[in-house]
Amino acid sequence: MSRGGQPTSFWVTVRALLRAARLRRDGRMKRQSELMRRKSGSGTDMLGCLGTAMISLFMILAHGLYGYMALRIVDPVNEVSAEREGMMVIPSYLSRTFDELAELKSQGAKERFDDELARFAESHARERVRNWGGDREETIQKVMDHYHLHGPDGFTYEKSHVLFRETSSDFPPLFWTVLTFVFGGWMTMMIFQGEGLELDVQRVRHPMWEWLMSHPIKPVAAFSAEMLTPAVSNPLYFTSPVFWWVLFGGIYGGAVGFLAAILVGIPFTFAASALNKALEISLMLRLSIRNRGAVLGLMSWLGYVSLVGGIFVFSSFSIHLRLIAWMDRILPDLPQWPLRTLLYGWGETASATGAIISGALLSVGTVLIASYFAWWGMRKGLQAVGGRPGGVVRQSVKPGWLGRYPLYRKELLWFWRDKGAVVQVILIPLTIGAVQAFNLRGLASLAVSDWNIWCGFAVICGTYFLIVLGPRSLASEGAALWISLTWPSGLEELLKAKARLWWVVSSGVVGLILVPGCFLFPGDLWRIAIVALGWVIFSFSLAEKSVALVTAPNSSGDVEPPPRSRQWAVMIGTLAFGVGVMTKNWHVAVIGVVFSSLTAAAIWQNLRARLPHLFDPWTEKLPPAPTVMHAVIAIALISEAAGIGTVMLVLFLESDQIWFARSMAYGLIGALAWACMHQFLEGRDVDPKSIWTWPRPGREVAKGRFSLEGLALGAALGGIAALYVVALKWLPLTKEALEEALSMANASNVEFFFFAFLAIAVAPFAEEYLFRGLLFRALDREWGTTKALIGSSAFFAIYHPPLSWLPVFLLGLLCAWLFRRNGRLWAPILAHMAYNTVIVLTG
Amino acid sequence: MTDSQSTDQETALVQINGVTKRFGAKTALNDFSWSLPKGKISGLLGPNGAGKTTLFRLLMGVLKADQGTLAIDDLDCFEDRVVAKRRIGFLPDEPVFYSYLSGREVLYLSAGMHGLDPIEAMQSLLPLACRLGMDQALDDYAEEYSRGMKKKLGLLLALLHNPPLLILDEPTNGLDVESTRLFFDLMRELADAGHTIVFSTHLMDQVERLCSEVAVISKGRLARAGHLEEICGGRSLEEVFLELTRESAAS
Repeated sequence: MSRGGQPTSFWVTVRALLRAARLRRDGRMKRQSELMRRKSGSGTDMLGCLGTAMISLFMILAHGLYGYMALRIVDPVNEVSAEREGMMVIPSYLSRTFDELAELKSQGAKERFDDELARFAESHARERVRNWGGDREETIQKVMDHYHLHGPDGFTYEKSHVLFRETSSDFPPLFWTVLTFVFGGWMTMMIFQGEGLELDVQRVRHPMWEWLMSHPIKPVAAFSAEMLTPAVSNPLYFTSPVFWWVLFGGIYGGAVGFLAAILVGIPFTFAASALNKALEISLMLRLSIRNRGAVLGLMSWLGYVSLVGGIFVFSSFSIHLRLIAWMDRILPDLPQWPLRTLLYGWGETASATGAIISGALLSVGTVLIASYFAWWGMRKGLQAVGGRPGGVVRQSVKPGWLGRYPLYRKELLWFWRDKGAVVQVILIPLTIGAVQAFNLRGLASLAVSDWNIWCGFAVICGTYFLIVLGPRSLASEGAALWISLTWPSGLEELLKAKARLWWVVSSGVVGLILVPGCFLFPGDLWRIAIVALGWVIFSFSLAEKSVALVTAPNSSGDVEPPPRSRQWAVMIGTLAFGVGVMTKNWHVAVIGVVFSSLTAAAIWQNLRARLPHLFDPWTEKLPPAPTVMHAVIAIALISEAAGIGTVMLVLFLESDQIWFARSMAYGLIGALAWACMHQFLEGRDVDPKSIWTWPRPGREVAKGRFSLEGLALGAALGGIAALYVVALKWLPLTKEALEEALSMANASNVEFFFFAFLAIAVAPFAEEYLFRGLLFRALDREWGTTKALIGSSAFFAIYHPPLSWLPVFLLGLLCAWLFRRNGRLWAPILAHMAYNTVIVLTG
Repeated sequence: MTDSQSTDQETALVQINGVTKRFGAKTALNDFSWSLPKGKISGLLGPNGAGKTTLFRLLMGVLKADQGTLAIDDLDCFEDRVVAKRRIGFLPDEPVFYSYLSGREVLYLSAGMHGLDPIEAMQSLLPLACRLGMDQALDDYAEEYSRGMKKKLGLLLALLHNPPLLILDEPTNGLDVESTRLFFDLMRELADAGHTIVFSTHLMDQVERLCSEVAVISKGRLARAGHLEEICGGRSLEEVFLELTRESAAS
């Protein structure tokens, strides 16, 4: 309450605004869950929550990696410094080699000496080439020459696990330069990320500001409340104390680390959030609407790049080394005192108290900078800068250009004029494409040419181009969607037109990258052509998916972002095609294409039901669960999660235990997925047990669980498949591929056991539940039986190795037919088990 | 209540029968019936929150009625909404435009989407644009227009394809005196030329000056509908309106 002429106190204002924001958010969530309950019987957006949880985990990982990177750069820095001084760094276990070499030299055994030296040079050269690149033969020669020139003194050993605290005075100046960069990268991430990648929210000046300013409050107070929004909405912020915990914990121990996370991490979270918002607000007030989109787009791109780049750099030691060597050459030594003070305090010896205090001071400093920006932004008042500078006359674009397609013209005008879109749509795909290209370089097979990396890069760029562009292009409608509703064409037509345009544009973009590839890799022309064909099919379905995220402005005119679960549904599986191409794994690439087409159809089915009620979600009715969409999502999630799980387990185990990893991963993921599906169906008032039986009018469900018919037919089909395998062995084309695939036959007994376990005890249950119980049944409702039989079996086949596609397709048909006829899921399960048993025994 | 309706049913362009619309627990329209005769100006009079905008959205096919039917020229407003759009010109209460197109480009876009030749359509619209004082501003970004100019652009959009029915949601809300007068003159001319116009308002004098048909709506219910003279019955419209809305508040 204001007393006679004084503006309302700062804290009262801030508290009131925060409460209002909380009420607004709670109100919106309540309304959304009411709508959901009305539509689907459950109030929680489970997929959305899962997605958010995954993102939070990812952010924790990112912070932890940054902190860890800061702690561990001592080693590469030492290595670079040593190399600069003319030494070669070798692992310490090679010290014995030097003793042996010295002995051989003193004994005069020249031949053995040469042999030993060559062996040493070869083993060391391997690592050098991996870290520094270069030609292997040349490197071997270089190592040998180095030894001849300098002897054992020309080499120094790798140091590892150095804790900073003990030897801080030994660090070369380069160390502080590099550390400043690591810390700078983390700060960039914190300052520029803001509310996350701006994929679907239009940046306009907050219309409430004028209303707010009509109250006797200080402007600073009003903006302070807004400054906390990134901190509470982006998981990056509230997980950031992890960085401080890791960093200080590494230097001073876990307890101090935890203290630092609280005393430094939490204040800094809010400080960074404030600075981000202050920058954003001041730019919004100072720039015209179209330019501000570009600058804000650049800001969020910077935030994104520092996040992804940090993880990317961390992932490879050789990248560490090369970056540090580059910094060593190009950059002057940066002042040491900022980071020294931050990490050690200001005394001579390392002091945890001093460090924490300086960390807290950093937060205060950041808030002061934020305040400065807020003040700078508001200096010219709250009027948006707009309108044209005097004398410049604008020209409207004539309809002759693309005159026949007014919608295309509108979209292209938007794309050109919304500079933010251009910035993001170009920068983000390029960044991600480049990162993926480097990341997967290791997994790509050792081919002579790198055409697959080139094509993979093109595909991934194109994929992200569409993923970023679609929602932004929807957001560009904003509250002007009403104009579209006055035209004699359905919304569906408009969305399809959008999708088609972006399909063509993205294909042009990908083509721009692929065409030079034809000149770089002339021998792989036909392969590149196949990738291009795959892209055309894939991108069509991806474009359709990305425009399916349309939302209508609510009754107060705000455009609300689409629910998280829908965003995730569109994103699932989109990378499969690109990753498949990049790693020369055709199987994955084809899955990506087929999967995308199927999900696009599922999404559009739901969308068509939703569109007539876009402005009136209260009358919207969901199709009864489980739908095609649910089945497809479940299958996609499980296979992606199992794939990731396998990879993670493989990283921890030796590579020949891959079948153990696979069966473990599938088993765990399968159990988890079953539990989630159970919950989900209960939430939608569907009895989970009903998946296992399929009563149809005029047909009784089979009495018992056992089905002799199923067993017999399954075994018979297994026999046919075995004959098929024999036939393949005779065909020269498939002979080699078959030998490769059957390498399992030579594996150890333990491996074989796990393979058999997976094939007979785990896979039939999982696959029948998913592909027949969920997918086939939902498809049968939507597409009719014949199409559903073919569709679900084809989809099922795609998830197996290409060589087995034909028999697996037949198995799919058999199992689906059995399910429909028998009415119980046990029949196809038994058939599947019988089939797999026959295959395993004869394979 | 609807004494004049039976005689005009043959010439009714718009038929609204027993329409109910609920949003969750809130009932926006309750058993609303009305018919709009051809070539006349009809006014929908009611306080704020009475359900006027909801009714117009139902007519535009943006919403689907829970009960009852709405038909324009025998086309169902929801099921046949795509075809019905050819016959409707709509001006919303607060028109918002694309932030990246100029006024002229918005008109070109709409003309193209209605299947007209954009250049020709602009030519035929230009006299009206000049009359509204918009011709200079057409090349500026539509989003930067003042409120009155946005309304005028909205009106131009609505008239672009020469529709037989014009649905105007509070058309003079926020306009200055001169523009309001201009709008009134325009509406009279359009009605004389054969267009059917329905507009919503909460201002009595607008209805008295322009309309021949009136419907009074309060709290989602139709309080009274018919010819203006019959409803007023010698008294001022304001008196009748207050009486009707108090009645419906009491019931």
